[in-house]
Amino acid sequence: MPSNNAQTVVMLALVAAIGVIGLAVAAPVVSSNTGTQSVTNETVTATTGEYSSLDGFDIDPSTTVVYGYNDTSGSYETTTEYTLNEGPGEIQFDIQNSTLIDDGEDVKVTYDYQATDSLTGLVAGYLPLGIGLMVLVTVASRIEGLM
Amino acid sequence: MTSTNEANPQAEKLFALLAMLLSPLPDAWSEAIMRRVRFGFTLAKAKHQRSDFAQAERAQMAGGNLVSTVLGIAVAVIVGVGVSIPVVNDVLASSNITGLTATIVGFIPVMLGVLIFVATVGPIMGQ
Repeated sequence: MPSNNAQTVVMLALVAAIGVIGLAVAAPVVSSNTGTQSVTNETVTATTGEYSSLDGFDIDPSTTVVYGYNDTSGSYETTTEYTLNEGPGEIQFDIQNSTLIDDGEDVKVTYDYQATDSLTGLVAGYLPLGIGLMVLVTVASRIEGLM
Repeated sequence: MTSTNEANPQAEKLFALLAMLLSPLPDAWSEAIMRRVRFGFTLAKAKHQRSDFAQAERAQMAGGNLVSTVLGIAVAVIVGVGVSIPVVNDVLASSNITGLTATIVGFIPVMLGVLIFVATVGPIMGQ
């Protein structure tokens, strides 16, 4: 049976490994879900008279660019024939007047949205630091106990 | 860790001293008292050893809890920030709430963030 010290060392190594792996996963999750986020070329199917839901919410209209497919040139081109509902993140295309967008066609939308307000972003931004501190202080205090 | 059967030199010295002090008494009395004292010492030693075992078990359990705590907090951060806060924000943005209700309900994601942060800092404060 290993001694208590050996068990503690193995346990601390496990705690450090799990903590660092958790931190490596948590940090990108925090950064990609707080503050202003950008969505590039989200594909939405245009339907006459209906709003289509976008992945984002609280969308910044000044950053929104909509690309419709030009059948003649065979490429996507920008269009302004749409109505954006910024809060819930919905978009409706003016299919009847548009030369680029047809009913049932895929449209690409690029935009920025506010994933969290500044206060939530501030608090959430400290979470990776909290995990790192927790692992560091825990391991350090146990090592101190061994000395 | 010493076993209960091993003689403790320091205790043996004390027993010898006690036997000397009890020597004026009749032999039967002296022997009876010494038997009681030795029996009491053995019981106390056994209890102390059980306590050592319990302490070792507690230490091992604490180690297991520590791993669980770190793992649990990492998962809480990932699920909380990656799922809970975005879902709450999306629902709030879609619900068209205004005024004081919107102000109060708007603090729910902040509180979720604070809750998770306190969970990460809690084990540090407990050191």
